[in-house]
Amino acid sequence: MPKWMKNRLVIGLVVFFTAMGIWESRKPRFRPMYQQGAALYQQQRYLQALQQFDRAYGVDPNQVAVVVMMGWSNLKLRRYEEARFYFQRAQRLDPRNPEAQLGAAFVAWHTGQRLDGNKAQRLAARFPDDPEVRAMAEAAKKQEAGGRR
Amino acid sequence: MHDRVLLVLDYVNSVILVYFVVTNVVYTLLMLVSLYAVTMHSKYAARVSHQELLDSPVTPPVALIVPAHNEEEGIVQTVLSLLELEYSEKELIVVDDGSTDRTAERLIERFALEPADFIYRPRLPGRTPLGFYYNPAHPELLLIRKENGGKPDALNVGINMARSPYFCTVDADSIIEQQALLRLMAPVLRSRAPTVVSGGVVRIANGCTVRNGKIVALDLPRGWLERCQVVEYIRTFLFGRPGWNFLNATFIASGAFCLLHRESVIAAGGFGTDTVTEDIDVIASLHRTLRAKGEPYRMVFATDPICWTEAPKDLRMLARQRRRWQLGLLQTVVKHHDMIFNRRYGALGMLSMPFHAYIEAVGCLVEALGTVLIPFSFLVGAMPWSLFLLLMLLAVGYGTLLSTGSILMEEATIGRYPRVGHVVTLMAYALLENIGYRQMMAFCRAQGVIQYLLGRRRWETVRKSGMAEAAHA
Amino acid sequence: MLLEDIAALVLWLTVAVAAINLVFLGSVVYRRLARGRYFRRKDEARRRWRTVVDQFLRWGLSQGQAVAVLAEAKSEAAQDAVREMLLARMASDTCDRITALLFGLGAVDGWARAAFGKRAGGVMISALAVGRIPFPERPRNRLRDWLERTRLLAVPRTLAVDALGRLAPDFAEVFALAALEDPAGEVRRVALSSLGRNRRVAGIAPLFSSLLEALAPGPAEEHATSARTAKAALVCYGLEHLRRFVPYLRDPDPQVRFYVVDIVREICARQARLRRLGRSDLPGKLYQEFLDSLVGDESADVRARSAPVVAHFHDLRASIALLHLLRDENEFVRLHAVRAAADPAYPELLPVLVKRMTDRRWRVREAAARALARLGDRAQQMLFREFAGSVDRYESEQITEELQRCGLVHRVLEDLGAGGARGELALAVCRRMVAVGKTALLKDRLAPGREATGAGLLLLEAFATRPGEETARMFEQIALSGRHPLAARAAELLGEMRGRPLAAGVA
Repeated sequence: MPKWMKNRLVIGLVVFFTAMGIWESRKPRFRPMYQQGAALYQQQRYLQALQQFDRAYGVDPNQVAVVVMMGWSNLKLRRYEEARFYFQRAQRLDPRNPEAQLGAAFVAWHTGQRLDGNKAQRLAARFPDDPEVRAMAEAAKKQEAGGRR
Repeated sequence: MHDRVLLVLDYVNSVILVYFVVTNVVYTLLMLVSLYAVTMHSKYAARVSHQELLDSPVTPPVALIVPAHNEEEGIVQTVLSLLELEYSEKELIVVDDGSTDRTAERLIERFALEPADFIYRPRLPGRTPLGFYYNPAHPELLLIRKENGGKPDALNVGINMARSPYFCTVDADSIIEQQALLRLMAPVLRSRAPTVVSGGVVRIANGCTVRNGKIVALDLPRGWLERCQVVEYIRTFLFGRPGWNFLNATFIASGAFCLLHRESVIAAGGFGTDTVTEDIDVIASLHRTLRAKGEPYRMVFATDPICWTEAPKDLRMLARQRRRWQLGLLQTVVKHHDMIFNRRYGALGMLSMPFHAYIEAVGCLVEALGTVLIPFSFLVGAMPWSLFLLLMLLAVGYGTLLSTGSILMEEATIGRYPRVGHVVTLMAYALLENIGYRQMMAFCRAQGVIQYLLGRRRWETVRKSGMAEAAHA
Repeated sequence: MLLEDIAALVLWLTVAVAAINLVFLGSVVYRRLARGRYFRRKDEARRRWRTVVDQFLRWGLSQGQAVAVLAEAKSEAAQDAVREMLLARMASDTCDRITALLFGLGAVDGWARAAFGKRAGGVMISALAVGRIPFPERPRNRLRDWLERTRLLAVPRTLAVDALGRLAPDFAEVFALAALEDPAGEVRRVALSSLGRNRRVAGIAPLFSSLLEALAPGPAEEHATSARTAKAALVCYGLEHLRRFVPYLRDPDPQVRFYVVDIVREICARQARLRRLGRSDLPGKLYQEFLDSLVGDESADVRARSAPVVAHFHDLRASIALLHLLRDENEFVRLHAVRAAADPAYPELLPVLVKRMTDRRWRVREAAARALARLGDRAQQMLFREFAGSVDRYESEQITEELQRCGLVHRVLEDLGAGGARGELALAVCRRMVAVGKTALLKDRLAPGREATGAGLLLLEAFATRPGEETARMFEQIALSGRHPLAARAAELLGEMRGRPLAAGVA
């Protein structure tokens, strides 16, 4: 065995980095759960999707993508307060996240709150192919027009 | 692929986090211990006179060994100031290590030294002296000329010629305070266990007024780089070393000013030439030898004996110096690796050696990596700006805390800088050195580690401009 | 952990760190300002009260008057200044008055309470006030002892005991003896130093107890005082106290005997620097003990250290004892005996010293050479003769070293030029130096402009007795140097040298 391999300094470093590696590898990862949740969401199985996203959230509650999907899942299940909570958190984590902004706007629309017309138009421009987004933007426009009269 | 990259980033971030937590916890504990030890010692040292040591016949003689290489500018002043040190019995051995300038000639002319044929008993390995120079009118002074062999070689030759039971290594460009040698010897005499090493404090003389080899007025240097080093030296000597001394785990005593027991050093094989920081290596060798013999011993560090030295003024020389120190530290911990986590060495083996090995010697790589990686994480969006900002503030704040704590200790000891403005400046630089300077030093130290890994083990010469003598009034 | 929580934690940590930084900054500034204020007040106090202290010490003020005036020093700085001034003026003729004044000012009371505790300190002061010697009882408590050993609590007591130890000897002794019971080693160390400084008879026994404790076998306790501390205190005593040291010279432990003998040696050496000692200066029992017992002690260290003491007796028995020690089987004994015999009062030992020049141990040879070099002209001449006639390389080397260190080579070179018997001896010395190759200084003397012609010629002759490459080079250099006064002779000798084969090596 080469001399340097018997050196305690080297051994200590190897032990430390190995231990750190083992610790890291044993840490649960959010990504597989997130991906499973996304697949279930695509299949419109929102309750199961929410459960997966919740597990991912438990592992890494600071991942914006997970928080946003928690919001969407709750929105689809008409749990508007929970959805609002998650979309607001996502916006705090990443203020410029379009999905979070969109989700928050939908929650406001569905709960009858006042919509920001400009924001709604920007979101419509951002998601031009989504009919629900267009409907939401129209509703915001009407709200604003009604408000002016 | 993206997942793997993220995995690696997570792993590296975890390592950096663990390193920083452990390092800062250890530093905090050291600082608390040092605050206590230094404050208590200074209360005592400020009031107690060393006159009894000066007058007592029990105070043993000391050999001051000054290795010199191309020091013609200041060597005469250094010798004059050492001869005037307050100490009852001392000998001064200047070892001219193959100077190519007029170092030896200056001394020969000034002190009327004549060639002498003294018996040389090489108990330690070293290049055979080419000649001795002596003047019975200055019986305490001896000049040895030899071929260039490096500082450890010169020290060994000096030890071979020394006749005193203790010797003190002094750099040729250092200025020792009048009572410093007495203060260095005090813990040796007052302890029941044999004290084989007594280390003192090294301070930066840049900016101070030097006259006839003595510091006559204290001031801070003008350059920001030098000021950062002043803060750094205060931190090193007032918070790291007293802490380890309190725990009886001294591992480093500066070779610029250190008292050692001659026979113990000889038994340990003297100063080795296989590292570039022979002063650290000899301490480790002493621990090894004395533990093997099973003899009780002590190594102490005192905060009141002070030696002033010149710090590099430009970044290039500073970088060389730090690379060399890092290289030397790593060479030493690798050489004495069996002490790491070895219970036979007590607190040294279980605490001090692991700290110096993993945190001081190798940890600079982690520090340098963290300096790059954390801003990178922010830039790639892996970290929100608010958290990034807070982490930066915490890092700078904590680094400042260690430095301001050290300056508080500087005030608590026999505070040297006379003006309030000095203290305010030091406090400002305690903050400023954490923004840029520390990071640069981390990179220089990392370079030292890389040099070691690449097999480059040469001594890089650090050129100093010399401490200019103030014009006489 | 939620990022918001992490951010909150980091924020609080940052705030805490910033707050501590501000506290440190504030402490530094406060301390700097406070110290500045303290020292300014202290200087002011010194200026204000110096004349009062001077007047008091010149008997211009009574104690009552001095107390009344100096009691106006109310601040800590002013009190410290007054106390320091008074302690600095302690001398044998002023100590009683100054101590009384310090009592009157309450300083002693303060120090006693700081050193021994409020209650015990108060009891001590009260007892002293009525002329009794107090023996405060100190209940043993392991936890309390441990706490009191910490520097936080020990340093103030140490400083207080140090101050008390500088009072008039009657009082200093009482406080120092009481402080020997302190659990902190630092306090006991200061107490021991104080006992030594005061040189009172009552201090001798406790000092020796401390020495014996320090020398007791077993691992050293961290808070124990060192043997050096006790020794440093004991060497402060004078010749008049030595009879009390005699019982300890008979201790069964050789290490104890060694220390005691060494202490006696130091005391005698200190006195001998003022005047020459004799048998009558030392107690009879001590004299007997050394000559009957210690010079023949089983321990070599004891015998070695006895030699310098015996040397102070300056009588026939001492001479005989030294003679035996000079022939001792142990090198350290011979070494110390040589050093002890370096006394002009023992001319009969000179030949023995010369014999020690061929000792098998270099330290003894070195000491013998040094002794002879410093013993005056007769001894030096003996040294030169021994050297010149020596065939022992090691002896020759040692003597050469001492000749150089003592500056006797210059003496030899002067004698060289003087001529006569001394000149011949000097030439023989130079020849021997050349023979053993110790020629650096001699060569330096032959450098241009360094040497007068007379002695220089003889030096050249000396070098010529051992021709070799180096000698030839030197002669060549001198010969080629046109202005050198010895150039012609060097050329001649070089020619002669080249006419005959070069000697292989030196003796």
